[in-house]
Amino acid sequence: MSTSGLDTQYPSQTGQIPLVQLIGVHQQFLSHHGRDFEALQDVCLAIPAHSFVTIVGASGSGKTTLLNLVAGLLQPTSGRIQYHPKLNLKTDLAYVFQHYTLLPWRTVLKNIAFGLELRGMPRQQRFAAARQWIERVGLQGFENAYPHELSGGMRQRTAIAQALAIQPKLLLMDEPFGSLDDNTRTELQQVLIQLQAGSKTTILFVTHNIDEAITLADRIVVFSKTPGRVLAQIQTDSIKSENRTDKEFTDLFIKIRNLIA
Amino acid sequence: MKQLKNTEKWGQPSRLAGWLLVPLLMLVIWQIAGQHMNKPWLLPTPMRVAEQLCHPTRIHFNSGSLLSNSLISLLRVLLGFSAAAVIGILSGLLLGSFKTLRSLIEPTLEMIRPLCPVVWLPFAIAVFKLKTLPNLFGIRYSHTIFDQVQLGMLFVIFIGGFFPIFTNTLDGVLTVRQNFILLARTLGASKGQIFYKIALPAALPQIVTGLRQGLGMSWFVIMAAEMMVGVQSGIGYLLMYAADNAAMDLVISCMLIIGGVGAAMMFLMRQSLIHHINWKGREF
Repeated sequence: MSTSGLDTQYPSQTGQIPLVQLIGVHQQFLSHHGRDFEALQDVCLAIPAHSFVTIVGASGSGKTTLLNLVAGLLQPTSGRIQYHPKLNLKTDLAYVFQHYTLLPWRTVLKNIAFGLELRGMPRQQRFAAARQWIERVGLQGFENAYPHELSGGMRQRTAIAQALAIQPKLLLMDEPFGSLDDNTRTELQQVLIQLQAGSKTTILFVTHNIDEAITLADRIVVFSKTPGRVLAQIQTDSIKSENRTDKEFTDLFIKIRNLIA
Repeated sequence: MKQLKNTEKWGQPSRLAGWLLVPLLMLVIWQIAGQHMNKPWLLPTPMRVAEQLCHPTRIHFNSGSLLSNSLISLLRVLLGFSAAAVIGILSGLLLGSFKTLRSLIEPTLEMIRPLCPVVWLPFAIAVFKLKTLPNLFGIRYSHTIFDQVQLGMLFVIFIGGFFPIFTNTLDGVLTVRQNFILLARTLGASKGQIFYKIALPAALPQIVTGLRQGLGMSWFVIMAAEMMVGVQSGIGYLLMYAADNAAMDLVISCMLIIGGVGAAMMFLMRQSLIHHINWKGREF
């Protein structure tokens, strides 16, 4: 499992408690044949506050399982997950899925206001907040459209606004741009980077697209095939910056591809 | 998208023909056949039927008019169906939300359900005799249309409407897409919020399907009920009475009214709810 050279350990920021920390997490499922299926194996991972962490790996490497564990939707078979004492999973978390991430019986405006509605915010206030988010994600004029009337890209814009409207401390995203075409995907990546820059949200983003993982991340976690293990953690702040060279990007791309292959 | 819908509605020649030309053609054939046979007690011409339909308040055989009997049938169905809707939806939601309750009650309901609602008729008549709705509140005779609403009929309409509504509601609640629930849960929804804001709207399309099936069944059952011996009113009764008196123009008028009212009720139900449910099958 040694990945000498690439395994850039995240520098221990002294005194900083990570927002989420996974310690020796194993996850087993009972498969249809009644035999245990191992999804995650000894995963150790720290997600620092305000960071943008992408998890990249082949499909079936337990990436979604990892998100569900962090979201508290699953309990790990063994190992534990530690949250920052100020992180309240019930109020500080949002989760964007690849599909079915909007409520089809609600308009764009009401979908975006949904999280605030659950928190009991008065109607006028939450609609005002939702309208601001509509502007930020560039959906002006579609307030009263239903999800089925939107393109795939617009739907995911709505989903991002819906998630960020509650100002979550932690945002989980499970291949949110997986079904979009390349142009739309690139556009939305930029929207997401800008929105995170202006907020205090930490993002944990799962993708199988290496390009996307590099573009978005401060830090990339590379996962192995089944059972999912952490192969490498790569700090990429420098590569994300505007003045990165194409060579840096390409080198990293090839390294990650060879790791996953 | 809108454009597509419009062309779907009237643009296709086959649709236009289906709604206008084919019925018209059948009317013409019927008219010719009726004139040719010249036996109005067997096959009256459409003109004779139309003449009856144009005089809905004419009293027949001392049994009331087309209109009054239609209203009586409609009232019976609306009352019985409303009871079935309220109790069917509530019990579907309850059983869908509480597993223990479901495992306790569902088997019994599943055993009763295959019984065709019409077979309850003799039983209902034996139990309720000819008691009417006002009798239930201690009024012997209220001198209103409600005196024509027999409890036995309400019971059978209720049975007919209840099962489709209940089954569809239960199924709708049990098959809510997991992602919608997860979405609400991760955004911090309570159990009550998940019920009101996710399960209920997500199940609505199927509840509406249940209501439509239930309404159709209620309208079906009332006709059978009104044809029973001893019944003195209702459009089904008038139909049987007219048949016994060889007034086939009246029989066909009743048939058209029964079909028309049933279709109209379905249409109104669908139109009033379509905006809440037309997302179904188009969610992503």
